[in-house]
Amino acid sequence: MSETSALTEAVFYILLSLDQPRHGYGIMQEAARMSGGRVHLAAGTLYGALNTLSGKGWIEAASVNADSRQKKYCLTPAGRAALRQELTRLEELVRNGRAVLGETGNKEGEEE
Amino acid sequence: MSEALKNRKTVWKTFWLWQYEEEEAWLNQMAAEGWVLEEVHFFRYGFTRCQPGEYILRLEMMNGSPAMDENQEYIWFVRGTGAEYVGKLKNWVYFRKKAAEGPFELFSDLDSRLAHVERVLCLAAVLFGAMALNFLLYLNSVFIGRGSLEELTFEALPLLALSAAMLFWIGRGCRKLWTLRKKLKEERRLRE
Repeated sequence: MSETSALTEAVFYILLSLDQPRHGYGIMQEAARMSGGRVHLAAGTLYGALNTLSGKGWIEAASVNADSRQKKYCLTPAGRAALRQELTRLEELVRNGRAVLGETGNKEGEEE
Repeated sequence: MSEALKNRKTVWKTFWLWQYEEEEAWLNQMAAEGWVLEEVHFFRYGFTRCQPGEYILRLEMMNGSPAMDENQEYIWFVRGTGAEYVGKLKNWVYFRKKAAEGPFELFSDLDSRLAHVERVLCLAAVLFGAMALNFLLYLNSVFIGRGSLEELTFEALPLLALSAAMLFWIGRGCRKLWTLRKKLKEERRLRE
């Protein structure tokens, strides 16, 4: 993943949800909540992404509860920076999309 | 028939490595009919009674044995998301989750789906390679080893034909996985 390329939707929501420490199921629920039930992160996809993100240093394991096998993760400063950079990119997409298709985005709103 | 027996059943069925989608669809069909997977063995599936449509089944081929530490960690992770671990068969693991608890998938994007297909394809290709080698060695011992065709013993032919049939069969499986991989890759170019 080069530093200027887009984050996947899964990665974006995982990072966003790790603004506070969460375990796997917590991340899934938070991503679903934020997206109004649209984004369902599947366990395998999430697990792979968490490992990749840990490897990149964008997230880290928060304190592990001794009697639970569920690891909690949280965002690192590097992860936060990546998220910010992605937000800038997304804003550009939205800006350009609106400029071409119209500001309101409603069904008849092509002539804005 | 006792009550306990009425609520259990065993089905013998064969799925090849490249038929895991069909296998998963069949297990979900069984669950829709009120039979949920309880145990897996080679060619043998044990079911127990459930409410029709009560469960969603998913299966996955892991990288290596499910008994490995990192794979155990993964199984615990999936269980932590509300799924039940049903069992394993070689590198395959089977999970189920109550449909009432929401959608249940193991892969939710093209990348992870692609990675899984490639994992299966890789194993299928190794099998194909082994089978091809076996076939060639056999061919060698049957023809070249004996020097001439006249000496070819009649009983060697069925084995040779069987070996060729297996090669063809695994080859077809590899092609199926390859096509699936290609389809996912093409879609991946447009979206995640």
